[in-house]
Amino acid sequence: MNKSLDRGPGDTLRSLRLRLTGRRLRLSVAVVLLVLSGVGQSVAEMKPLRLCADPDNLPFSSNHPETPGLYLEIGEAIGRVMGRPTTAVWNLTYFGKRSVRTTLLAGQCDASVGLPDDQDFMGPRVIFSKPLLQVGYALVTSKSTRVSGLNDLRGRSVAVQFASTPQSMLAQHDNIRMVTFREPEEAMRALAAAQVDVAFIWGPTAGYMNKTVLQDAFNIVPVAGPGMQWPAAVAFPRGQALLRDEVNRAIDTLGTVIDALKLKYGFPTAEPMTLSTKNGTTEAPTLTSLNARRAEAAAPLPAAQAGERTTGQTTLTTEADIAEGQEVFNGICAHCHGPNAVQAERRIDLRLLRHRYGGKMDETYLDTVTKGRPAKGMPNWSEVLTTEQVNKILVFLHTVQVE
Amino acid sequence: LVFPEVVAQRRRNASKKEEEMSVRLKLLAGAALAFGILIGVTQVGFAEDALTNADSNGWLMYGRTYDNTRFSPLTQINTQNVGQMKLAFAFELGSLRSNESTPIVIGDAMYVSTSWGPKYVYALNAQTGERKWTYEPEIPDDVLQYACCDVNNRGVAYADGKIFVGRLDGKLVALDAKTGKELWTADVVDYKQGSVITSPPLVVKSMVITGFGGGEYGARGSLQAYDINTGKQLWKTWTVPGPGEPGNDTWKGDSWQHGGGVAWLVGSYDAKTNTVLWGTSNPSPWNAAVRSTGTSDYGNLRNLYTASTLAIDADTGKIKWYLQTTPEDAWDYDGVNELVLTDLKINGQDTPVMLKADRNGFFYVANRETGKLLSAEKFVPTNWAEKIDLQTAKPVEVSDKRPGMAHPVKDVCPNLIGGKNWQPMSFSPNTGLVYIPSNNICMDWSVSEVNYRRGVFYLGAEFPTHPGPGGYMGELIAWDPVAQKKAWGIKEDLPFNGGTLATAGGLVFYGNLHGLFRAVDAKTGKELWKISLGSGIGAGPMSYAVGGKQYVAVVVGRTAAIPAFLGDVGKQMVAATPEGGTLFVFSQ
Repeated sequence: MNKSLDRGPGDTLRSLRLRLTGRRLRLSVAVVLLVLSGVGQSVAEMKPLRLCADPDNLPFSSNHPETPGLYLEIGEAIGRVMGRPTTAVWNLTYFGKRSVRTTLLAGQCDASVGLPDDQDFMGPRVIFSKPLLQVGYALVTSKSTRVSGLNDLRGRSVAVQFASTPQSMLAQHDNIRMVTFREPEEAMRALAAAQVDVAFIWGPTAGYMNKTVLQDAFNIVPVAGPGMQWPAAVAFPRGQALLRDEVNRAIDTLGTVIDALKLKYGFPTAEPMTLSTKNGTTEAPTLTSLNARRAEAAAPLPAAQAGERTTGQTTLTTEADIAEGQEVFNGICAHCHGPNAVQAERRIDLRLLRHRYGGKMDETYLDTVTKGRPAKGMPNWSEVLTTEQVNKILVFLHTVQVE
Repeated sequence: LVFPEVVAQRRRNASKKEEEMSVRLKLLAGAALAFGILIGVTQVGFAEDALTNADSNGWLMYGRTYDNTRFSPLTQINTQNVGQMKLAFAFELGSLRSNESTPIVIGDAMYVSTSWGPKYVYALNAQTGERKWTYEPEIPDDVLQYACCDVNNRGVAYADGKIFVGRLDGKLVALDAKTGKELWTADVVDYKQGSVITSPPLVVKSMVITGFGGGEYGARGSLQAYDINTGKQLWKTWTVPGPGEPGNDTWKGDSWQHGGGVAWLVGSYDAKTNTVLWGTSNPSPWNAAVRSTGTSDYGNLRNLYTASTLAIDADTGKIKWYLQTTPEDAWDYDGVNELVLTDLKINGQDTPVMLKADRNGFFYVANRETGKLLSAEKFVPTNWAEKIDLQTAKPVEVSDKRPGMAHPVKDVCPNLIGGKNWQPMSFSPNTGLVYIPSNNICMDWSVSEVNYRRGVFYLGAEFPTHPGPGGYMGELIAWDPVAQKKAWGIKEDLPFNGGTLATAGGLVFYGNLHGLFRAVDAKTGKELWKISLGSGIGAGPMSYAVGGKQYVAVVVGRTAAIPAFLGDVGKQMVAATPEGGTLFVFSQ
């Protein structure tokens, strides 16, 4: 979902994102230190609980250490109760079922937080914990607006998502003007800019944006009905009933933790309302006029500070560091990536890191080394290499980049 | 090479900035004019001679020639001697699964692409298989996430010493045909919207024209033409009209913005009328009530120009006419299948026609200069419509076979992969028959399934699949397009079998999902030769001659993503062979 934040016209959002990205480098190093410094030696022997998660899907999960996301933080909390460390196995979820097939069901991870506990989802191949949250679509309105039935939406413009249940529902009401967006973030931006009167979109995303960049300007009320709300739970492959039971016991103790996390991520907490479809049973429309809304929107969105941006360059640059990085590289990494990083197979040719990732080269390197890419055969090196070694290898790699 | 230096020299000498600009502009204009004339002449000559009047030895583009007949005039390998055909060489493509490429042969050089992006494009010596160069593009890691229907690539195009490659990451690139070096790159579409390029572009005059995929994910389709020398965009034609354009009123509300209608397969070109013919995909989203009435009574809300054939003026990109095959589609009956151009005697009249074996189960014959529908008959078991009204070109629907939010349907034929999918058919002017790799599968369709995309759950469509009447799931059909009836057929247990090649040697070549590659008599269907190639075959075979010797080539490598849509049928498809990726070339 962040991809639309990247692309969108919202400069505010973009600088917020940059700020997060900028902090990321130091934080990942900190995470590595934490892992290596023996904090929790007792759990080091436990096999980590591997959680499948999308690296770019806030508010649900992300690879930004500052905001791991609701699902990932719940997973980490479950791990703490069970006394097991957790690791994230990153995979993109543009096509949800395909990613479940190729990760959870292919043994790449042990559990996936936040899948719909519904027999229609993937059948008996996937089993579920107790439900953690009720997630679904919500009506997003200004504070002064009340919507209790579809009648209140008559003559109004309503932002919906492409191929969503609300789009299908409102398509049956010709007197409601739908404005369609591919992503819920785009719909929220249109609402904030008073280009639409109401948004009927994915609630958790609306809540997160409302909290983080829109100064809580909007009311968010989940909507009940078929195809509107789902119980989100932890999913496991069939055959992992024992793990599921253990996770269920952990969940029983996490009520307050989950409530705090909901608050942190702006998750909508109101009871789902039933949208009345009857004529004449609701009060007169109470929507504020579009003009008034436009005036509200003229006030600028909260400006995110430019924030400190680290350049992504480490400070270790001496010849000795380069030589040491090269030595470690040739002793360990060269096995796959080639001596002195000379590798003809482009896919694993690390001389192309800058060409491929540009300003995100360091970030991508650190992320890959400390978390691994199990699906592609890259192990997690965080328990083998010291932070210093990881950094020196990076310094060496900077000297061999080609365009 | 002289001109840029002159420009640079003048620039250094110019004292005032304005003067500099003016001199530069004049010189550049002069240079462009001079180049333009030279290039223009070369291009026209090239297009006329090399691509339009193809020599019989080569295979110049995906369907061999602009008419997409996949007919080779070579006769050295024929019904008498095909039984002695042997392997000339094999080449490992270095990329597994869903290899769907038709190699092209220009002179003695063969160019073949692989799956995954493509992962590679190779230039080979077409006689020996010796490799001349390899192009390995930088395809982003996450591209598989956005490719709805696998990481396939169906081949490359050639013109003027350049190879043109459409890529999964939405880019179109030109390579030097001698070295494989990139000459230019054009951004056609943002792949992160689910739009990828899987088919070779079409070169017309000095333009290279391409579409892209992504109809299911909210893309709005377009065809785009680029200058073959610079990569500069020359025109872009939306396949779903915007406000103010004719046809925009066939969409409800703002649904046209995400209306699909993408042109993800290959185009054809009629040089006589300077017309590009291209098919478009299904509309989106799948719930037809969002973009129309959701019923068979759709009135004007037909969702133009989705599930259609578009005739486009090659020079301007303007739409001349359209022929829509499935109005307000609700079955995923893309209209993308390739147009085969030929002249047939219809009612005693020599008629310029286009032939299309549509996914919707009907075989269409239409006048390719006017778009007028001449005939349309069922070529596979088809029950969603009784017939096509020839006056209006509209299907006479069987209304309880139209799925919608409130009415799931049972046993609709064909299913969503269609009576024919992307695998190319061929046409032999000698037999007058079209050789169609067809599917015989039916489906139920309901909309209760929970789906998920990047954090959002929604109601998905579910379409359990089962074999059509007769129990077989595929058939090579030899179809008489004049009489509109089957001449003969060879049944296959599985669907999604390989494209076909017809030759003047009286042969039809095709592969199946079991990896069996066959030559049959084009008149009778009698099997004359076969060989097992180890992995499922989807790609269309091709034929060429170098050094006085005829060769037949086919790429193998089983499909991987489509079976995931097809439940138990899909499991059988995957179990049929291992994944693969090899080019096989045969000769006497």
